[in-house]
Amino acid sequence: MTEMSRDVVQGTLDMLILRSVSLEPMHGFGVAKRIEQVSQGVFKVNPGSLLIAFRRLERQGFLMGEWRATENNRRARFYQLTAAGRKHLESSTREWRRRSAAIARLLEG
Amino acid sequence: MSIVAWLKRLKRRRLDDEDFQDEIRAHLAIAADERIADGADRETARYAAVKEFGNVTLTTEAARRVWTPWWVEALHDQVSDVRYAIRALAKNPVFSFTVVGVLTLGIGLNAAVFTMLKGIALSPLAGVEGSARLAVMFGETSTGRQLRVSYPDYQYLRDHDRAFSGLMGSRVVTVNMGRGRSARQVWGELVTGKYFQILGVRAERGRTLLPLDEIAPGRHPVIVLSNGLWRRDFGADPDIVGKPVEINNLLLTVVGVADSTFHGTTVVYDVDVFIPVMMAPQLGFNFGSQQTTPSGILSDRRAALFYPQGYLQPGTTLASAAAQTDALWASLSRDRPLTDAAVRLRVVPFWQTPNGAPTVLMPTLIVLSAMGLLVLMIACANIAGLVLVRGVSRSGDIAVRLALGATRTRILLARRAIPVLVRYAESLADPERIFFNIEVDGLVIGFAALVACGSALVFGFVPALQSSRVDLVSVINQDASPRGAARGTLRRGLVVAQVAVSVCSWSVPDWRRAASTQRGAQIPDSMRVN
Repeated sequence: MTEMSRDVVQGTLDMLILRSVSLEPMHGFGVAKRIEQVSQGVFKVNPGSLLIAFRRLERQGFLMGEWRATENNRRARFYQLTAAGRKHLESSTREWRRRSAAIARLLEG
Repeated sequence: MSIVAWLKRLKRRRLDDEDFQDEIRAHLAIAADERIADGADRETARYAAVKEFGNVTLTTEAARRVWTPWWVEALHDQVSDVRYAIRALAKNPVFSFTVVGVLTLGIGLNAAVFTMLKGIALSPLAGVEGSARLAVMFGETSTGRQLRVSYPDYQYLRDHDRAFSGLMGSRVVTVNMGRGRSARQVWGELVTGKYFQILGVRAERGRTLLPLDEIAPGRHPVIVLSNGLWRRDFGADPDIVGKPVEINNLLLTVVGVADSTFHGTTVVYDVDVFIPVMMAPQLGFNFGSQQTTPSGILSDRRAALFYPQGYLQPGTTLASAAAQTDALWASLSRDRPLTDAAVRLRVVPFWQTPNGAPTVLMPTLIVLSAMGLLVLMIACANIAGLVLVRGVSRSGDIAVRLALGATRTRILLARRAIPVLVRYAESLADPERIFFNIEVDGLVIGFAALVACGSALVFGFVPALQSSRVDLVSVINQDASPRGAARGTLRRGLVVAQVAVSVCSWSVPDWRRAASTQRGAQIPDSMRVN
């Protein structure tokens, strides 16, 4: 393989975003940084796609955005999880575990 | 969706848009801060953050799709493209006027020719509903000469032919109206009794001519005036009915005035008086016949009078009508043989009336429409050339738009918006002259629109395809490297095509003869397009 892909697994970006902001309200750069760090550099999110995903999730009612000041006194749009978002995160996490376990079994068996 | 809700939505969209732009700016600032904290200098940090983010315009457009339905987006694209096109046209009025002028001529010419074609094929007679469905009968000799039918033969056919729902006849004549200094010649038609009934033409005043006017020769010295004659020569006299009019030194009583839309059944002629055919002997007509005197015009089978015409019975085809009519003719000729007479009777659609204007005009019109399309093609090639040359001069503008994140499709649309706009302005300026007994209706407008769209595609889209393929870097850097040379292929091709078409249109002999057409019955033969 010439270059390893750093894109997130297709269809999982929403779940990763919801998971990231479930701990505390975060802005786009924070989410991107967290995904990169926690995945130990395996995944790197394109900032543009991230911001678009935020808007989509907000429109679906899973996130709530709000302008606030950062600790460095910059303005940023912070996103926090709504009740519906929490529910969606739980169901999609369950679904992902079920599927990835199945794939793992298939690959090992 | 109500308009208010729609406007709210548009406003909301703008707010969302600005908010998103803010968010992108904030994001870039934070990302740059982070890099500065890692030790990068201010400029490099900002540059790296922007580079990492990717294309801002594309991202904004993608985000927009989250909060606006795709069609609002497409509409917005179109509106801004049209606005761009207006600005571009206003900036270069000479170009705009040239293009609008050339297209007006090209499309106008085509629309005019089409209007005439349509009139002849679909509604040859003004004021007669469905006149194109009229069928016409004529005799044919063994040598193929086309003959009119005599009055006795017409009577026989009228009473026996079941293929037609009714037969009538009319013969166009010039008559002298009035006496002395006020005398003048007008076009008239000698018509049979059911003429007006079969055509479904009403009288505006009094009555039309009726079957009772066709009982016996000379019995009913009556006349129906055309609406135009009544207004011009009789000052729209409300008491015209019952007054005498002198025709060929014979006094005829006016019984009515025909409907204003009706101009007779002889295409191109504006017929002013309608006289019962029974008055032909009294008026002294023998129609140039050597063998017949006026008194015998209605009883002599050798006196060719007119081409009987009428509507076919519902469900009867032209072919079966022709067969039935010819069978009648066969028995008629057996019972009452004639020398040098028609050997058969033929039935044709109205526009093929022997020596009728449509028959004469149709080939001319076909040649004219071919010429019209050629002229339009030349015009399109010219404009395509102009647009292309402008396209080259606008490469910079296009390159900037591409670099700002416009998709190639979007640029194509913008390029096409200009021609479409030109066409729109042109359609506002379109002079719609009514010609012949022909009206401009939805069909003609539709045709003009179709031609316009077709030509817009040709002169707008093809060059656009060429010039949206721009090498961004070289153009933005004002690099005059010879990419233009490669693109010149289409330009040169257009010039060649144009010259070829021009030369062809003037070297084909038949077309040139068409340009110097002479009137006469010979035209259809000499104009056959091979």
